[in-house]
Amino acid sequence: MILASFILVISIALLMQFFVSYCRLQVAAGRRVELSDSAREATGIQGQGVSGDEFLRLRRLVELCPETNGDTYKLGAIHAYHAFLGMVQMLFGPVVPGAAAWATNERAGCSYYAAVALDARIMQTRRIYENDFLAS
Amino acid sequence: MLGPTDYVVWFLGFSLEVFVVVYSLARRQFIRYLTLNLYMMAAAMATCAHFYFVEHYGFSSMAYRYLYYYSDALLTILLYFSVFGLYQHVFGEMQASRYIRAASLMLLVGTACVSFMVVRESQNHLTSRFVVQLSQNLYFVGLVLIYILWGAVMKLRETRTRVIQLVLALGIYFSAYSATYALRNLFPDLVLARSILPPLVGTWLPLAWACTLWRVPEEARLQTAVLVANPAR
Repeated sequence: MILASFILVISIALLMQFFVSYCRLQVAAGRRVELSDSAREATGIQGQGVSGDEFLRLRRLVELCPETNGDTYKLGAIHAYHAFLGMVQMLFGPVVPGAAAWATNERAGCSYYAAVALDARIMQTRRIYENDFLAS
Repeated sequence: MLGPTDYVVWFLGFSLEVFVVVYSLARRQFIRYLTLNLYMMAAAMATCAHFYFVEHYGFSSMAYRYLYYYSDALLTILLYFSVFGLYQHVFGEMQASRYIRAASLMLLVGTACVSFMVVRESQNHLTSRFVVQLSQNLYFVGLVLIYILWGAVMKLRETRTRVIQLVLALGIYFSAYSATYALRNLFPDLVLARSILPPLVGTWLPLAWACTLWRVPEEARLQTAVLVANPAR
């Protein structure tokens, strides 16, 4: 019983750590991508600055486009990460201002990641349209 | 009794396992990620055997239960070799292959000896509880191994995005399975730990590895500093 409880606590703690690192990796990779003009026009994003609160709106826009290169599972992970950051912001924000600032920055990264995913889907949809409809 | 969702998750997992192997072969990366591919092949074969047993003996049969838990234990041991394969990638430039091979051999012999002794001690009561405990311990050892590797990745400032992503996916897999088995051990009747989490966690690894090999180019680089969560910054 004690061993199982110990393993459970350690496993959940490490799961959180690996999950956060995995999502940070995706968000960091997303930040390196420059948004196209059409994506900026569609989302209203200017520069790299996008609020973390925009994530759900951008996610809904992403869902309007057909899936590209199996990105749904990663978006799902980022969605969970965004929710987790929201909890961190809510629980630790009043006590640890540094944590709130970090969570705000990360949530903005999540939103930018969703915008990048939207951009990829718009481009893919446009390619399909040009190849399959305009060519025939 | 299995429902349509169970079969869909099952088929998805199998397809992804096959995809990883076929994609690696097509891209001539099979040898580069040999241990990962061998694990995926073994996992796909185990999935076929599971399906055969469910169809012939039934999902609730003892034959299927034994196959499930013991194939799972063997696959976990095989997964240790994937972890050591990733150790080879991370420590490759340090000419440490000899030591890694020796360590993996020692771990295999150690695991085999301990498992043999545990099975010999418990051969009169090889119950589901025993196999759950065995799996829980095996996954926890895997979790410790991958955590040490993750520490090395951060310490050595590994920059290959693909390797980092493969290690993190494996870390999530080991920790999630270890937690699931610990939950089952603590609450044997908990449906979440018995029926819902295992297939989902089982699909995670082939899904994450397939996406990594497919979407992340070999030459992609990333500074590990961006992965350190620093709320005080």
